[in-house]
Amino acid sequence: MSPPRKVSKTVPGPHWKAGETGVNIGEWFSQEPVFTEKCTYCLLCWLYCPDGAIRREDSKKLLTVEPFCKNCGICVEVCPVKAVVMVPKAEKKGKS
Amino acid sequence: MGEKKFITGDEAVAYAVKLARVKVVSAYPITPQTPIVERIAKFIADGELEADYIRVESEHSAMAGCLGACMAGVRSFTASASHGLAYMHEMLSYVAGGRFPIVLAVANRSIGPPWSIWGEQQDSIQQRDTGFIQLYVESAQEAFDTVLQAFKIAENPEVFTPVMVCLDGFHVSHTEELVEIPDQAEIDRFLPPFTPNALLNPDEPMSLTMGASDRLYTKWRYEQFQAIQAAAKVIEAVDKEYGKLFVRSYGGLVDAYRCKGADVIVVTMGGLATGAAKEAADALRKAGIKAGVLKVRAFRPFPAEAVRKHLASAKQVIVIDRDCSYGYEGALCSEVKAALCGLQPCPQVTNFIGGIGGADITPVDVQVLVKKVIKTAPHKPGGIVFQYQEEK
Repeated sequence: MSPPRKVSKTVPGPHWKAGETGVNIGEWFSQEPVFTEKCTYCLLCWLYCPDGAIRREDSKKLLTVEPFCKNCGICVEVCPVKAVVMVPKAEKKGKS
Repeated sequence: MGEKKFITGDEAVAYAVKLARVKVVSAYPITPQTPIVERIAKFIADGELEADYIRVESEHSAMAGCLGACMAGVRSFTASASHGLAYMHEMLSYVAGGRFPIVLAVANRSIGPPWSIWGEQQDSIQQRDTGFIQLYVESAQEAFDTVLQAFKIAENPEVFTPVMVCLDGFHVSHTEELVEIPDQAEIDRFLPPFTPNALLNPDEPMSLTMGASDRLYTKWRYEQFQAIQAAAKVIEAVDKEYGKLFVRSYGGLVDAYRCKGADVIVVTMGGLATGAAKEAADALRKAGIKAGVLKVRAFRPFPAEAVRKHLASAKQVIVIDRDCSYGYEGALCSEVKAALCGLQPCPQVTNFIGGIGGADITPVDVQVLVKKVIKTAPHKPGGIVFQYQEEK
């Protein structure tokens, strides 16, 4: 692979560093997936998430959700041990 | 110290592209642009230009190819005209909105039907609002010089906006002239290697040409608006710098010819109209009529201030349009009128729509027009003269 080229300091136009969002889109949605203790860390949900919204933490035990989750629920569907549940944000907030 | 070649406007553009060390040319042939990309293909095949030539299936893909090349971090070029340019339309907005400094040459040709392969400026005028900088040239030499200037303008960090270099189909594109071509080393001093603004790089992943909410969308559009406004100064500065290095410059945004103290000024764009008007002005001056010519070189950004300054003291202004915004008037005329708005006293503006579908505009045509306008003045504002006479 050729060495990375120099990028000029100013980056005009609608271009951003990957993974960054201009607005917190997650705020538009009412639910959030929660990964319960049943999780075996098989990473199927991480693979299937169409928005790359599930982050693997370094501890290798924990999955967390990025702000760009769109509540599609695919993670809930693909989980083989039913460890992922969609929880209304208000309820989650109330519990903690 | 360079060489002189007897070449057409199209070939001159190809030589400029070669000397600009373009790395990707992605193009689809269309008359009267074809000789540009044919000559570039030959340069590449003969090993004179180290570049990739992408043979695409349409003009839409031609510009998309340039966009990809620009994202990957190399200088890219394409050329088109007429229906090809119309087909490229979506990608023109895309590269302008994405702020990719691509240079596009347009050999101006009519849009059908009625079907015609001949020259007029309707094709590029129709692309006015895509966000491209538009420069109109008068000769093969200016085409050569302006393509090189265009890369420098487009790639200026304050600008980062694509540039369209427009040359009259046939009158400039296919007419042979003596063109001075500097050495590669001289050009390299003027035009440094391309520093990309955003690129595809696995080590530093980026989201390019993103979607945006209303606020962010407006912010980026505002930045685009400011950049193309800022381009006006850059166009002037680059033209001046070019003039210092190569002795040729073209007045930056406008070229005023005998405008000082002129009672009648003819406003033109491109080669055919400007050439005819300049010759007519010389003849009219000899006959005691104070005539001048204002060639608009940059149509976008539109040099409203310069136009106002040069036309302010004229009594009559005639705007030659080789295009028409159907339902109103010629596009250049509208811009000129807007630039003059508020002047007291304000020159009378007459619009001449002609030189379309390959029709000639001769110096005599312009002289007759000027004399007619002087005779009938003051006429009703918004007068339009169409270059057409009903057959008896």
